[in-house]
Amino acid sequence: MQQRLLQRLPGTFNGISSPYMLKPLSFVRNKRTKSRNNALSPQAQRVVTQLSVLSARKKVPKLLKLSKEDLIKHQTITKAWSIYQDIKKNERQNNLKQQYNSINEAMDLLQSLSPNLYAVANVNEAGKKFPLELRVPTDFPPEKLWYYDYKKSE
Amino acid sequence: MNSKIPQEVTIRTSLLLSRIPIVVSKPTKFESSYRAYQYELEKRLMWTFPAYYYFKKGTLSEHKFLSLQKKPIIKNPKAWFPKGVPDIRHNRDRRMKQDVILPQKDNDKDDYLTRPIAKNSIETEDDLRANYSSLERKLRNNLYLLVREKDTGSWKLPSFEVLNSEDGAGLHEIAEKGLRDIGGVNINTWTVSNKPVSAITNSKKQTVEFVIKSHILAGKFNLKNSDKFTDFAWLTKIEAKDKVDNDYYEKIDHLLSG
Amino acid sequence: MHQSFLIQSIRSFSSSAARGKAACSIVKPVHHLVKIDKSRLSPRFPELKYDKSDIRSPGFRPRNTHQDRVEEHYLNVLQPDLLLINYQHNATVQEGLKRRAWSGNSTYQINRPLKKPKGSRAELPNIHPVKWNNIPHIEKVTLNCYVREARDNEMLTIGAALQLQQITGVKPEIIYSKSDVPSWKLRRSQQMGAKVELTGYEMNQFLVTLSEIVLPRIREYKGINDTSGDGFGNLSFGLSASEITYFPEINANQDVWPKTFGMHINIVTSAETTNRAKTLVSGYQVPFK
Repeated sequence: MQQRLLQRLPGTFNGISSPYMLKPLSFVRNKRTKSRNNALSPQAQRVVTQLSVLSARKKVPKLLKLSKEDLIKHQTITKAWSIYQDIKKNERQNNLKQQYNSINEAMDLLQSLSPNLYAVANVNEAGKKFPLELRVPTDFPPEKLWYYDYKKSE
Repeated sequence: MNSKIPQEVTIRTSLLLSRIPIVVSKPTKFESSYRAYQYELEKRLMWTFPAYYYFKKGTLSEHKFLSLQKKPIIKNPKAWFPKGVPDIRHNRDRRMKQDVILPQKDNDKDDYLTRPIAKNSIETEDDLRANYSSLERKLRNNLYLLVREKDTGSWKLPSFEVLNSEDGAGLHEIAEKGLRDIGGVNINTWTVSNKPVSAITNSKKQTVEFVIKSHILAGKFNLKNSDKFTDFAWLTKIEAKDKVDNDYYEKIDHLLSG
Repeated sequence: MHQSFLIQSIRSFSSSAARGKAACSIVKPVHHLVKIDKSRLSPRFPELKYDKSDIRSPGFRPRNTHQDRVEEHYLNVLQPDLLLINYQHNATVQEGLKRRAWSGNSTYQINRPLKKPKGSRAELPNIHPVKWNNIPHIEKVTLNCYVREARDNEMLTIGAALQLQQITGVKPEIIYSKSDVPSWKLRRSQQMGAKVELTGYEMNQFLVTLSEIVLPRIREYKGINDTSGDGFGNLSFGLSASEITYFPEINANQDVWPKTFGMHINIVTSAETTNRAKTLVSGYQVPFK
């Protein structure tokens, strides 16, 4: 009898107690506090679960409390990172500026040397698409590193 | 602008053919430690994992998951807690980060979610052998195709003479055709643009080289017996700097990236 | 400078009218233009006054927790290539349609607002040539999940919001109907779905999930419609409810998702034309028809 009751209890699996076990089993009869018929329909229960996943209730951790020393450390780290990012950004911008200038110079030169080649080069390429084979790099290499067996289609 | 250009200038077109990185770049020590710090802060400030949503109550999977989790110390009004009184909500101490441990299965190969991820090595065999003709090396970097000229013996970008500019072929078409003439047709490339990215002038030889940018997507560059080139190599920016003549490298330095 | 040409430009409280002033004021009154945020004056809750990027603020969220491979790809490969593709020799700024001045023949035209531009209701922006400092980039991605059935059952918006949160890992916002449409039985301010705005790492993760996992799994998917685009550099396309199930977060526990919701994906870029935007987005391995 007791074994059967234990199996029916929510929060237990075949009598193995889980951390979600609600109450210790007791046979003292108390006043009933909840009516039996207020159980939600499965659809409504699903919505309640979904809402509780979205909501912050009972899930938010405590605020960070940093000591003065920790705060200064954190601010130093953050400042160092932003300076580092600025340096990298400037480097990239300078490189792109160099590239832009060299494209400009090359086109000027081409225009003066060969108007025919210049006309082909200066065609508007609006709407050109990158090929799908130009893949975004991954964190670790794939199984097949390079497709060598490419054959030119006739 | 130089309006008087001698007519005897030879126009050449060269191809900057690159293999883009396959793997992300190696983070510096500062980058990785900063990210680790931010990640720990994020874990500390993360909401509690709603396990009840992912594991149905009373199922075997829920039991497996819950049995793996570390149980927090429960608050007891009679006890003294030297590291602060625990504040437990949803089975998590709110003062600390939550470690969610997922059940791992070693033998089950079909379940792609719980199977441990096997990471391939970033350093390949061709890296160890320093096989410069291979595209399967230096996965973190850009690789650029360089060829060795027969008459001068110096390493350069593959470059081809533009013979007659009257037939309507652009610089990019001449460069791609030239590449296939010396390296075989079984190579898949994507020309970035018709426009040259740079012009390398050589006043001694009266030549102007227009550099066309292109990416290799598949296939292989096989140097045929050519009367102009003797060798080829796929090199990173740093390796290229060592091989190429200094004055030539200065002109292509800004086109290469690490 | 002659004394007689001086115009008193600052109103002072001591005199009600400036000397030599015409009947109407040239200088606009400046009262009440500076808004006062009273929460900043209060000494209570000092931590709420910090910027959200400050660790002392309750709204602090750490950034840069992971290496961003998509961002790296953009900076390393796409950015220099986009500069080269979009380069036009001797290009100048293309003026968009602007408001036009009146002829000035009639005195009634004094102080009239300018004429509307020819061929457009509103002014159109200029199109700048692409240089090293304005290479197109993706600014943000907006996912908009409008659920028509939510008109009858507001609970469905919760599912839509959770679906967006599961896919992106960013907290969604509920969207409301804006107007009454009796023929659709729609009333104003009903909950009609959810939306989420992605930037930075989350945006890149979403784009790469889309192009590497979701779009290749859709049967006979040809790509984004080539007519997509609003003309100002923004692209949009949609995913149907059945296609949403290919997202790994939804696919992994399908039993809690008996109903999924289709959504619109808007990619907002700094490219000023649709063509430039298409070139940019195709670099993220997104196929086009």
